[in-house]
Amino acid sequence: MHDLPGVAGPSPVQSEAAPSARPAEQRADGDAVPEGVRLQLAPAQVRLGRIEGWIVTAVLSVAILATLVVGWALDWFPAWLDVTLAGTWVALTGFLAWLSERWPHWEYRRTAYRLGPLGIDIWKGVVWRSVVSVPRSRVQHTDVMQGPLQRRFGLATLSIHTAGTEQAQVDLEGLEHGTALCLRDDLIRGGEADGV
Amino acid sequence: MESEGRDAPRPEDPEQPTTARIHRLHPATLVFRFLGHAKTLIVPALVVLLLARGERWEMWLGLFVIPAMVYEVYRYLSLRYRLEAGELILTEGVVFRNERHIPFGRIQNVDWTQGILQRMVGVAELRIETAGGSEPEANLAVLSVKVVESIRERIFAGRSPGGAAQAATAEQRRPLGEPALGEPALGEPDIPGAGAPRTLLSLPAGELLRLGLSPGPGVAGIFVLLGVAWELDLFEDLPVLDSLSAWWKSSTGETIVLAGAAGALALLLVVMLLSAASMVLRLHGFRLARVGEDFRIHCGLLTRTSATIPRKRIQFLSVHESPLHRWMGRVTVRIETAGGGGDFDEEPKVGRRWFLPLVRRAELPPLLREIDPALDLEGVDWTGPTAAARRRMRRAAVILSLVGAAVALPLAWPWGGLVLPGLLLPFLWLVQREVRFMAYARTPYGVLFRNGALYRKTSATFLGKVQAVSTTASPFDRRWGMASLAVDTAGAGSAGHRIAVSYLPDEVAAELRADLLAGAQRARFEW
Repeated sequence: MHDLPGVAGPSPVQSEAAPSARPAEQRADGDAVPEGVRLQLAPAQVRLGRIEGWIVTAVLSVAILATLVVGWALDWFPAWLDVTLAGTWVALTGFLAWLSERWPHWEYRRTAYRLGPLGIDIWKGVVWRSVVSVPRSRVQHTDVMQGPLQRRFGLATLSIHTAGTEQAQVDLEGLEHGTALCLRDDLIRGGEADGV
Repeated sequence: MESEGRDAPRPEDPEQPTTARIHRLHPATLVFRFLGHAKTLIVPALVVLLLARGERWEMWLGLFVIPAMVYEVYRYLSLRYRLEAGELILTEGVVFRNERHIPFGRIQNVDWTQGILQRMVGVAELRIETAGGSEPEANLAVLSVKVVESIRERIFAGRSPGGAAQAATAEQRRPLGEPALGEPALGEPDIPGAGAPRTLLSLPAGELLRLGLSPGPGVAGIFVLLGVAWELDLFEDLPVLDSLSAWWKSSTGETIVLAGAAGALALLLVVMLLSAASMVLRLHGFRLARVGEDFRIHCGLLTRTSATIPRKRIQFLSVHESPLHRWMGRVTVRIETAGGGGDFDEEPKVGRRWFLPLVRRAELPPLLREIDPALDLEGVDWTGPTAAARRRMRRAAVILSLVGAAVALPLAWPWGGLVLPGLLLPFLWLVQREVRFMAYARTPYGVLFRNGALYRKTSATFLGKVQAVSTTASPFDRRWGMASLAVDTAGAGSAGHRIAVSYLPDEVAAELRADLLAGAQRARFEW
């Protein structure tokens, strides 16, 4: 993780409306997650999201290009369609690349969480923006998962499981691994204290 | 009890003498399982008979039937259950042994059904559900009726709200041997110590017919199917249609319209009668009773169903009013318990789908108070949509109508223009009705929500049952500074409604979410 200077623990955000400022204050490992403050994901999540986006873009655009090349070789399309198809391919690849570059940033700005004495609030969604609140006493169990790319960036996904139906599993993707573990411990402790 | 009770001592731990007995299913299980196989094998068997033309059909029989029978005998012999120390313990398998412990305190529902053949033999199928998973935790098919009653009695008598621990102590206070059985007639629950069953609602045939007369969305489905069948020319070869088309050619426009109207009316009547008949089949002799802290439901004409629903396990309830039922002054109440999600049309789920199939509006309040003494839908402070929300709903109606007209106008110039008032007026009327009814209420014990322009639904849940609260803002919501709020419970969806309040002002939605979070955290969740 020496190559990822920006990766740090959760840092408080002052305003709910514009959660972009991010104080450089570092958090020692093992500290509890501060309560009652709206916190953002690890900034490395933006880079991870971009890499994922580029992979998807590359796979899709190569697949489409391969189809087009086969089509041209076998003369599937009339001549007038050739230019249109090539143009569409360029435009689509460009759009996907642009989205891969921008979307993780938008998502990062819109994703946040706040741990409180009563429970946890999770902000999510770029177009459909939602806030999910889970009371501490309703947390059945939690998972901390790390994919291969996430391990590379020191990130993790925290899953909060409730007995509910639609919100039976609430995921928070892109936390620093240590923060995810802290959050998990904190949420589980809260549950025990309630004796449910 | 003797018929299926192979009263063998537990072979696993002979050093631990116990009064608990190990039981097998009723021997009739084998007969019903074979019949089940016969049903699925009848088509292949016919094919074999036709293809083999009498030659070596025995071999084919051996190939399919004998293994199935051997497997069923093996299953029958390997499945055992016992009730001990506040738990139902099932063991299955010989090679791979599986032992499942179900603490009485975790059991959500105990249902049994009895098909017509099973009734003749005096056996029933018992299903026991806990909160987890979509499948029943234990499916004991079949047991004798006496055993079903005694198991149910043991489960609910030996249970207290605290869960397995207290259940176990209560169980120890009871003699563990043969439960006091007497001769319980089916459908007449008799639980010592739990108080006599108190009938809350029974439905005479007239009420069942009323229930069937408003058949709900199923009818729309039938009409759609008829339409599809018509499009696919499935009726092509029907002689009736030939004569019909001959008559069509020879008739004038007016008679065709009249006959069409009469035909549609007749079809509607037939559908209503079919729906009423299915209600009578399913809900004949419906009786809802309260026994201590449990609700008991019995119903069914041919296949009889009985469900036991602990009062504390009700996660969510919904009062439904179709237009026809509102006109008759009747409502339907559905409930949700945890577990057994998914296919709630299944027969044993009848107790949740039809908790109160049809009840007079005036009789509803005391019945709701049986579920929770504080539950009241009338005397609460309902909050309706704000002025902005009403404007937004009307604007949506106008925009939809304009889009409809814009599509219709070029297609049928200039008469397509009539589409605009043809859509706008009904839409505005529906919006007006929705606006007048839609509301939510935060009560000391939970949250209520109601909506519906024609088919009205009012739902309630309790703070102790709230699992998560969420607010969502769509791009349209954001333009209006609004959000919708949804309350999630462990209820499995059988009520056919959810608490999802739309068009709330942003800050109201956020406040309500925080308030419900606090309320839920303070209230203790009990499955």
